[in-house]
Amino acid sequence: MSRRCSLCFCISQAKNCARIDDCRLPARRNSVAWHDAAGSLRNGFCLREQESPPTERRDNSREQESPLAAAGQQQAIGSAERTCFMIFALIKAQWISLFRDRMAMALTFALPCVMFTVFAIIFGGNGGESEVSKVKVIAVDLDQSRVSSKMIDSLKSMDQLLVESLPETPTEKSDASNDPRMAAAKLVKTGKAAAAVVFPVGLEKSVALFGAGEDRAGVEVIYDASNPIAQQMLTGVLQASAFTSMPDILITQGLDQFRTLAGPFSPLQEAAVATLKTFASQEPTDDANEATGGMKAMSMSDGLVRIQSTPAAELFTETAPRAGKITSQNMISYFAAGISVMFIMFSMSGAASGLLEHEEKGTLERLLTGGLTVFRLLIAHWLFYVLLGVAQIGLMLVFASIVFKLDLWHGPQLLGSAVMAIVSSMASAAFVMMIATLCKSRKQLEGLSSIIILIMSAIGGSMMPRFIMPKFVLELSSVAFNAWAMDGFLDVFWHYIPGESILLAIAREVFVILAMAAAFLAVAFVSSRRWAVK
Amino acid sequence: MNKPLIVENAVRSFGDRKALNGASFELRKAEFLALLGPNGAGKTTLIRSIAGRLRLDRGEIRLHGQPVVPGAKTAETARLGIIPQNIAIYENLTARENLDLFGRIFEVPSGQLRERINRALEWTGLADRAKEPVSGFSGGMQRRLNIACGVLHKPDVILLDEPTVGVDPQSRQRIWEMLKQLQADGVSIVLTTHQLDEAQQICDRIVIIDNGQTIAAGTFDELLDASVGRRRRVTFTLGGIVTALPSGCESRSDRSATFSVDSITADLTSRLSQFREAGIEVTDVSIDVPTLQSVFLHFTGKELRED
Repeated sequence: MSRRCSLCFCISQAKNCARIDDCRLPARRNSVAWHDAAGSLRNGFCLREQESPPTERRDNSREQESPLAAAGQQQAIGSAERTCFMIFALIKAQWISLFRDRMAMALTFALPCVMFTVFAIIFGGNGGESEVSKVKVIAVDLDQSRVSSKMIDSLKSMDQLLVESLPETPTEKSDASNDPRMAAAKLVKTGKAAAAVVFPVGLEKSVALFGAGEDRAGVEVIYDASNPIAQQMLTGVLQASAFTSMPDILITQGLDQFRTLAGPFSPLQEAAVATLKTFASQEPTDDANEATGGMKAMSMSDGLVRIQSTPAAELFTETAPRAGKITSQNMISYFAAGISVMFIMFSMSGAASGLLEHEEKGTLERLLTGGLTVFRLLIAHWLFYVLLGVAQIGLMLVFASIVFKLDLWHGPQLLGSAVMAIVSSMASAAFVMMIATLCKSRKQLEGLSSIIILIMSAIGGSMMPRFIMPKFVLELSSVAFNAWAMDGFLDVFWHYIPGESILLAIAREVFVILAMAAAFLAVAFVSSRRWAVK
Repeated sequence: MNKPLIVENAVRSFGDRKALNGASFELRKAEFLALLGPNGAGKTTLIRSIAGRLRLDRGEIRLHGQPVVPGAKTAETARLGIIPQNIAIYENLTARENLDLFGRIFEVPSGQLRERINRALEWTGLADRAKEPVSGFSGGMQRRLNIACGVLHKPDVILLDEPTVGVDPQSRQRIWEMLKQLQADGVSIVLTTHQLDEAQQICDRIVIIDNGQTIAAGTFDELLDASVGRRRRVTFTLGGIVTALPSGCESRSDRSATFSVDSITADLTSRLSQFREAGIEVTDVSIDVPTLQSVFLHFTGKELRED
């Protein structure tokens, strides 16, 4: 009665077969040849009962060369070792195919770096050192007063604005050219300026007339609807400059209102008001500070409340366990992560189309008639995609660190980005594999994957930061694994507090991403059953 | 095992269409069997069923005496080699890398893999181009490599699905030589082909399948006897216009006459004597030899490539 060998799992008459040469166990390979019951010298043959006498089989040389065929041995199907060999062989074949395809190599590794460079320059500058382009604003001073002059000077002091006056010579003959307001509006409308600020007649009189009514003169901002940012920025800047550029005027106007309501001041009060006006109109100097007995601790031009901006990362520099300063967060790290996550999906999608190509050519069928099962086939391809993604993300981050000074080469950042690269690749690989198994042809895959990946990249924050997106888009992005991947990378590069565990910091994202990867793989295995036996 | 492969009453449907409807045949040891049939006859379905990739609705397939269980990897299926009609190899890999890959997939012992690859490269005549990507190979070279990848694990039974389609005559001849070498080694071979003349000359037996059923099986002579018979049609081209011809003429034109003969040796000589006695000059003789094409037409009533 046949039993399964306990060593190599072939079917044998004996508990341990004499399958020596082909045995995976080194100890048994070193054993000597043995004699069978008939006294014949055997080497490497299983004790399986033969279906025909050995003399009817082929010659011994063929038997020894193909122990499977000659001796009728049975393979140790399903052994973990053989599975690993097959999977490794498939992964190796795919890597070689990729390396020999120069266009695929360029698209996989070079193109993401190019795209990242473009995004980094646009949004992050060259490590934050490049000049930021200014917003051009046309100032139309119809009031010609101290108030309007002060406010225009305040606008000119802003680094992000380029304030210019209207050209003196009208550029075109029209009625509008005689109206400075319309002339400025025309410049904005034609794109020659981002916005125009009109200071109307009577502005000085209406300053600080709080609650004076709707007919009081006000500053008008004429803006280009295609650039609403300029309008929002100017509105805020103008209000701030109104309070900071003319404190003496505010005080004068306010006191005049007070006189109107409460009656005239006494001579002593008038003298004090005069002193206050002088004080408010002066620029801060050390002498003035000493003269006022230290009252003027800061300039009135600082506004009612002094505001100081501090990057959060700088607050933790003293508690950093290592020497050196943490590089301030910038858009470089954001887009390094965003472009990486987006492009691993694209490159894996391209690789997955190879799976369908093999199906169309019959290679897949051939593999499945051998020792390969659908499960092993998918695992091999999934592992290849994961390795591809890790290599791609790694190259991108190294490139970003070298060219754009991404803060990568510190322990927590290195560990965190490595973990995120691995789990992101795992999820992305599972995702594209799921799509590939659901598609019936390469054309279906190419069309469907492009749309899905672009949408996911958009809502996931690969192209633009999610914090500027509407609320419902933010909620929608929670189903995109790349959004969680972005959050994880930001935890590594933006939100990490030195001294704490980087793995704990990204634990939530890692867990969610791995869960999604498992779900994608499950769907892929179910939908790949079309490749199984029908 | 004298009959390594036995197919009995194989039935398989795809929806309302019966791809196999009781097909049966046996493959003998070291036999070269041709599986013929028009398009849609069920040949590919049968091969996939033997390979364990399709499950039969009814019937049985036995490989080395053991029933083929679809999807199961057994020692018997490990002794089976499949060479698909498509050139199912990796074009970006070299010949050696392809053989290495499929050798591992088909579980060739790692200690023997390198040697077998070297032998396969010699056998296919690709040894000097072993390190070149397959994409640069000709069709014939790719076909030979396609075969080598399917037999690297030294199977006992090989199924080939049109192994010479789209190759030039020299490459086709080379492939047939390779297959004959395998047969000489004791391998049993089943192949589907549309090259009837070659199947007639090379194969030991022929199985004709149509509509999922085996309609004829046997050697060429057996099929010939069962169909068109062994009579030959002999056409004599005459030297001039002849009005009176020897008896038994089946058809004629002004300058030719056709007779059917049972024996070339006896009847042809007799006919030539009749012409000589009648003073009729014969300028040429052509013998219409029944071919597998005529046998096939007789059994199926259609051309091989008719849908």
